Parts: sequence; structure tokens; C-alpha cells
Amino acid sequence: MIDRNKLRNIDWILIGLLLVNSFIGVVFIYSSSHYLPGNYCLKQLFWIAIGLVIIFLFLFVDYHFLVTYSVYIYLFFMLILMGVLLFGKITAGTKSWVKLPLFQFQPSELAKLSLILILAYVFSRHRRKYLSFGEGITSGTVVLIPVFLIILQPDLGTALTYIPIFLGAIILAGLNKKTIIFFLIIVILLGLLGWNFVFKDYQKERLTSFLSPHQDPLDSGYQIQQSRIAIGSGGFLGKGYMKGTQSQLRFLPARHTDFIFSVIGEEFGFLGVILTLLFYYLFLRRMFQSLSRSRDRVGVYIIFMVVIMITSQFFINVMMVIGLIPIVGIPVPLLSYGGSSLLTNYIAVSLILNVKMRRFVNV
Amino acid sequence: MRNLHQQKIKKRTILLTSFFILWVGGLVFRLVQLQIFHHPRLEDEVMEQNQFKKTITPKRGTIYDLKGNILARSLPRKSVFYTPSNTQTPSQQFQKVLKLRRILNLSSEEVQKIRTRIQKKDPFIWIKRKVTPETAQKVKQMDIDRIHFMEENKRFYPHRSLGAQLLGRVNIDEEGQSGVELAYNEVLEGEKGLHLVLRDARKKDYRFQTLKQPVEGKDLILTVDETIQYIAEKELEKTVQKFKANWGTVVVSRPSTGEILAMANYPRFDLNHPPSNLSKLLRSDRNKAIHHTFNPGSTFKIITASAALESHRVNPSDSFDCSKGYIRCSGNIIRDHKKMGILSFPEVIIHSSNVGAVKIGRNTGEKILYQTIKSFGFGEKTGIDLPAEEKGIFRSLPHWSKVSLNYLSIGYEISVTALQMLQAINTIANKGECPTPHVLKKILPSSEQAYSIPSKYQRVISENTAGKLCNILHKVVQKGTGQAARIRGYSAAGKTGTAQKYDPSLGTYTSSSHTASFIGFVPVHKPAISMVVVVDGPQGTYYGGKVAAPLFQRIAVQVLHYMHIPPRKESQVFIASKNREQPKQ
Repeated sequence: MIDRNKLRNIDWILIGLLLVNSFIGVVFIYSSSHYLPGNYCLKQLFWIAIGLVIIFLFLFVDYHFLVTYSVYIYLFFMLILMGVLLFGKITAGTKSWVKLPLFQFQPSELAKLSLILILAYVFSRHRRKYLSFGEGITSGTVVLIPVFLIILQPDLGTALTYIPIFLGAIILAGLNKKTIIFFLIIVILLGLLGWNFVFKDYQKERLTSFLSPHQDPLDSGYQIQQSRIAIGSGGFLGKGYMKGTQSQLRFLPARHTDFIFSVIGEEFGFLGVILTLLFYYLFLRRMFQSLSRSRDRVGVYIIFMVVIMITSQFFINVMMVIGLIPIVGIPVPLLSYGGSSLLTNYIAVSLILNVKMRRFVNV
Repeated sequence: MRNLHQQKIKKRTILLTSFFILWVGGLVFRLVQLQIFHHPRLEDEVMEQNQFKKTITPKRGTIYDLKGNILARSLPRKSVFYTPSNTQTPSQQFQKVLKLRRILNLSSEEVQKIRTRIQKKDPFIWIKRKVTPETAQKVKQMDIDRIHFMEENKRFYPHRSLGAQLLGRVNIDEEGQSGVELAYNEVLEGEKGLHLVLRDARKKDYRFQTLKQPVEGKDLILTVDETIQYIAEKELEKTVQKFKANWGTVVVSRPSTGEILAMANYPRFDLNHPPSNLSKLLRSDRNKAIHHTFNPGSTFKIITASAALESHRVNPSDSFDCSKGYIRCSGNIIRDHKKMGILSFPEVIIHSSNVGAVKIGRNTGEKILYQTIKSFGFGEKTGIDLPAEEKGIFRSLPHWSKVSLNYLSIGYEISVTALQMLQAINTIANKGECPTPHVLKKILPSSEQAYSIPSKYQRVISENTAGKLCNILHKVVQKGTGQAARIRGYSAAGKTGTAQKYDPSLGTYTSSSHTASFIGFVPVHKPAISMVVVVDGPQGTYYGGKVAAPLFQRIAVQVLHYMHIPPRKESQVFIASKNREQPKQ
């Protein structure tokens, strides 16, 4: 199953960077929740420990095995997502939680992994220069089913995080790449320009309430405002650890989850934010560099989609808290509190380790 | 082929990298914008959100009378206010608040005000201020959402209308509006404290920081004696009602120090429930003793006499022919009420002859009369420690007409306040030295040395002149126009005054409305009290000697007894009369 050779090939640096970023998260989860009941900080540490165990457990399973059975894994998760819709209880306005005797988790997070595996399965057979029509239809359907199910929960934020994974896959498959990138840049630039200069406030409000229907427009306006104030009042050096008035006085919403980045901005200022970005950048770069260490196409797809998943979610969250895009409730991978999100990202990183570890093995 | 592939990869890498750099660049740009450029503004917003300043109003000082009786004090009361919510419609909230209408006895005006403020979404709305503890308890029991209470103080006047115009009012925020409350407002109110309150997102206060400690208001002890004030008001009321007069005022003072013992006005009003109508309130608020000016008439002859004696232009032994009963002056005629024959100098004053006074004035001359009136302080404020004192009208010498000397000699062409007349009589009672009048005795808590207001004196006339006038004024009471002021067992001195009121609509003095007045002091040789009495517009009998002098007598006799001033000069008469009265009992 696994031998010393493979163990030696584990990317310890990547695991190190993963942990560094996780602990940065823990530090700020403590700052933003120590006065709340619930021991969020300890729970997060517990999830990190569990995550590490799972990373190593998953290393024993060859990723080819996972990809081969990805259809079943995918179907299993789709059933859970449907089950949640049918039998789930509404928590904070959505039916996104599965409650188990000891803990509860969000299947919509873990289901991302099944999407990555099945897309890898679909595209690994792809040998042509550009995406075929059939592949397009298949992969599109595969993505739209969970997206649709999650929108129904309704949890638009999480549903949106599925789109970049799909885009990453088709970019890799080749969809006249220049066009795609050009198109993407245009879309994002237009979006940013429009958000900041063209749209009127009431239009933005409409957009905001469209994107997060479970929040009333006033409320989302409040969140953006508080996040802006928190980050801006932090200034260059910040107010100091556990001294951020906006988070400590509970003005800032979802401090230990979606808005943890605002807490960093308030307590450690511009400098702290840049440092956090730097550590995150190192982590993302390490994963990205792994692309060249893949033995086969399947590995390349897996790594690329994982990197795209984490990167996009990170940047969408940061843009959200600094008020560049409307508020959609998604956590920052690794930094935010939350077991489901943390485990999903740990397993995702484990998949990269898995691919890298097996690069010299002949099947 | 391989080259082409590499080129493609290179291109792709460049594209992806530049895309990534653009992205990160955008983020950093935004962070710089927020954290560097918008930082000061956003920091202000933080302050605005989580802290505010709260003023702490200290308890207002108590006002005591000379004997330590409470005249005005503040007691804690609860005020009811409402903070509207965003989730309920204004009409829902209004209906909710309306439940309090009966308990709080809200008028339809008040209800209307509350309604408009709820509609305007005012964040803080008074429902009713300063309700009784029982009412507050009832409101609390109703347990209406978002109804809160605030601790405030309410001013109480245990004697209600006693000394109303003297003490003055405070407004709902306990700021002095008139009288002593206004004059010593700063002393009484103390210093407001300032708390910095830090507040979290749930609007819970979590920390106070005292920026400024509140300083309690200081207490005042007045020179006013509650009992004397009561006597004066009671007797004044009787007189005003008896003569159906418009109003009346009495000021009782200690001539040796200028301390005001009582300052009475009638009509009065209840300080605890002042008239709600503003113009009515302002009218009843006027302290006539210092806010109203009038032509003094005959009482002013003491000034003419002072000028004559002080300048030696007239000798006390000089006599004046008043047998015609009138005197011409530049076409006008000044009359006496009867022909009096030839009068000596004292007799002119004793019988209050206008003709004689004009002749004395002419002998004295314009310049000296002017200077004497001036040095008595007419046309200027007396300097009493009460707000908005009137100074009256006294024209300067260059503005005098040909007849001014004549009219001034008998107390016309000049308007004075009652207090100014009291000052004049105090000067004579106090051997020519005039003390500044004041109502404040002490400010409490006093430091080691008891802080009291020192009396200030000003020499107006010589002791000699004052002495001569004392004797003349004593005779006014003994056998002249002021006989009604005679007090059994005491030697009183004084001067009556009956002045025709100037009617602005006719542009002349009218014989249908008068100001009856009396100024005097008792006992003559060691004056314990001095007094001015002014009754405006008495009906029927209007002479000062018939209206004002008896009032002086009634007040003075009670005050003398109250002050335990022993009867001296006529003590035997007093005892004899007592003995005589005994069998009747």
C-alpha cells in the first residue's frame, strides 16, 4: 500500500504551510470569540487535529482509486444533499446542516470534493485539444446538480464556490484558453467598475438581496459597513491583539467565521493583512507548483481544481469583506471557524499530497 | 512543435500571472484606500458607534431662609421616556404608548406631540417628566416595551406661593428663570459632570469613564425671614383686596445692613404650579418691588428736604407761605389738597405741602437738587442681587425743563422703583449712609470662615442732616399725614405718598388712578426695620396715609413683636394700655 519511498515524498512544506495558516486562523478565532460561550477556539484546534489524521488516512488510498469510484462518491453526496433538503431542519434560515449524534456538518462543503473527483474522472479521458460538446454537457450537468440543490437550501454563497472549480476544469481541458481568460478579465473588471462607479445604491441593494436572499438588504448593508469600519479603523498597524473595538464589542457580524479577515484587519492593521496575504500566497503557490509534479492528467486536474477552489474562495471572501463585491456568506478556507469547511480543505490538500507522493510510482 | 508548446505554456503563464497580479493589486489598492486614506474617517465612525457623552446633572442647591427654613429644594423624581423600535409601525407604537394616557394624565396636546415625534422616528421621546414615585411604579407595573425611566430632580417650594416673585422659578431642566433662582443659578446648579460611556453593539453600556466629576449645587441662606415674609404677604393681600387695588408690593429690610427681610408681592402665584400660559406667567413673575417704576410723589419730598438741609440753602427754622393753597410755575399750577397757611420747614414735610416743597426746592436750586437725587442713587440700579432690576427714569440736568425743578421737588418727572425709595429711607434711618440691599446671607457649605456677604455702604448725606430728617419724619407719623402708621409703644418715622398715575393714553397725569405709598422705619433712634409699601390703583380712598400707612403699621407691629424688639420710649403708655385692655377681656 504505502512504502517508505512514498512517505519520503510527502510534501512536508505544504503541510507546514497548511498548519501555519490554520493557526493564524485559530489565533483570530480566539480573539473574536473568547467572550462567547462555545469554545470555538478549542473546537477549531480539535478539527485541525482530526483534519491531520484524515490527511494521513487519505494518503493510504491511491487517488486513482478515488477517481475510479468517483461516480459513486458523487451520487452518495447528491443523495445527502437531497436528503438535507427533504428532511433537514432550518438552521439560521437555511437547510444546510446534517445533524449527527456527536456533531453536525455541512454536506455542501464536502460535496465539493466529490465534484473535483468526478470532474477529474470526466476530463482525464479527454485527449483532444479542445473540450468536446459531449464533455461540456456532461461536466456542466455534473456541476449544476449540486449547485441547484445548494441554491435550494438556500445557500447561494456555497453554491457559488462550485463555479470556479468547474471553470478551472474547463480551462484546463482547453476551451480556447485565450478567450476564456480574456473573457474572465473583462467580466471581473466590468463587475468591479460597475459595482464601484456605475450602479446606484438601490441597484446594489437589489443585487445584494438577490445574491443572499436570506438576509434582508438592511442587514447586508450593515455587515458591509461594519466590516469597512473595522478594517479601516485598524489603520496601518492595527489596534492590537484582542483590542479591536468593532469585533470585541460585537459590532462586526460573523466575526469568527465569514468576517475573520476583518478582525485581522482591525487588530493588526494593513501590515497584518499584508503578512496574512503573504503566508496565504506561499501556501497557494506551493500547491500551484505541485502541478508539475503530477504523473498523469488525472493528477493535474485534481491539483488544479483544488488550487482554484481554495484560491477563489479566499479571494472572493477578501473582496467581500473589503467591500469590493456584495456580501455572500462564504468562509475563508483555513482561517475561518468551521469543521466542515476545514475538513473539506484538509482533504483537498491531502489529495494534492496524494498526487505528489505517487508521482514516481508506476502503475 | 516542442518550441511552440513551450511558447504556449509561457504565454499562458504570463497571462495567468498578470491576472493574478492584477487581482492582488486590486486587493492591496483597496486595503490601502481603506486602512490608510479612509482610516481617520472610519476611526471617527467607530467613536460615533460605540461611545457617547452623557452629562450628569447634580442636585440643585437648597434655598433656606434666615432661620434655616427651606424655601426651595430639589427632590428626586422619575421621568418617563420612550425609545421607538424599527420593527413596529408608528401607529402600533403610538397605540402602545397611549395606554399610559390615563395613568400619566396626558393632555391632548402632549399626546399630539408624542404622536408626531413617533412618526418622525425620534430616537428619544419624553412621555412625561418628573412624575411621582407612585405613578412611576404604576407605569413600571404595566411593563410596556421600550418605556424607560430617567432619574431627575424636581424643584419643590414647600410654602407654594410664599415669596414667589422673590424666589423665582426654574424651568423643567431646573435652570433658574427668575428671582433668586436666576440670580444665583450658577451657585445653585453646581457643575455638570461629563461621563464618557462606551457601548457595545447591543447598546449595552459596558464602561463609564468620568471626564468631569459633577459638583453638587451649593445651598443658599437668604436674609429673608419666612415669618416676616408671611406677615408682609398676608397684610398686603388684605390691603390690596380691601381697596380693590391692582397690585401691591412691600419690602422690609434691616436699615443698618441693607438685608432684605421680606419682599412681598400681591397677586402671587404657586411656584409649584406656575401658570401654564406664558404671558400670564411672565406677568405674575414680575417682582414689582424692583421691576415696576412709578412716580413717587410726596415720599420724594424727603429728598428735596435732604438737599435743602445738606446745602444749608434752607434753615430748619425758615417758614414758607402756603396760604394760597397753590403755586404757579410757568403756566402750570401745583396745588395742595387744602390751604395750610404759613408752614415751618418741618411742617411742610409733616403735612406734605406741595406748595411748601416747591418753594423749598426753588430755594435749594436745580443743581443741588439734581446732585442730591443723583447721590441717593435714583436713575441707577440699587445693586440688589436680583436679576433684571429696573433703574427708573431720571433725566440729567441739561434735559430739565423750566418746570422740572418744581415737579421734581414733589416727586414727579421721575420714575423710581419701590426698592429705590426703600434705599432713600434706609439712608435717613442709617445716619446718612446707604447700605447696598441684598437677599443673600450666606452660601453653604461655607469654608472655615463663614462666608457672608459684607454690607457695602455709601455716604449720601451727613449724619446731621439725617438726624434732622429723622425727627421730622417721626413727627409725620406722630401728628402729620402718616398718623395711621403710629405703633403703640414704638417710635416710628416715615413719609406718605399719593401720586397721580401718568396715563399714557391721555398723555397726562390722571386724577382717577393713584399710587399710594409709604416709606418708614421703626424705632426712630435705633431702627430695626425699614419698609416701603406701594399699592397701585386703590379704589375709593387712595391717600398714602389711608392706604399704605396702615399697612406699614400692621406689618411693623407684628414684625417688631416677632423680632422681640422691646418697646422703649412709650413703654409706659404700652403697659398702661395693656392694663386698660385687661378688664375688657
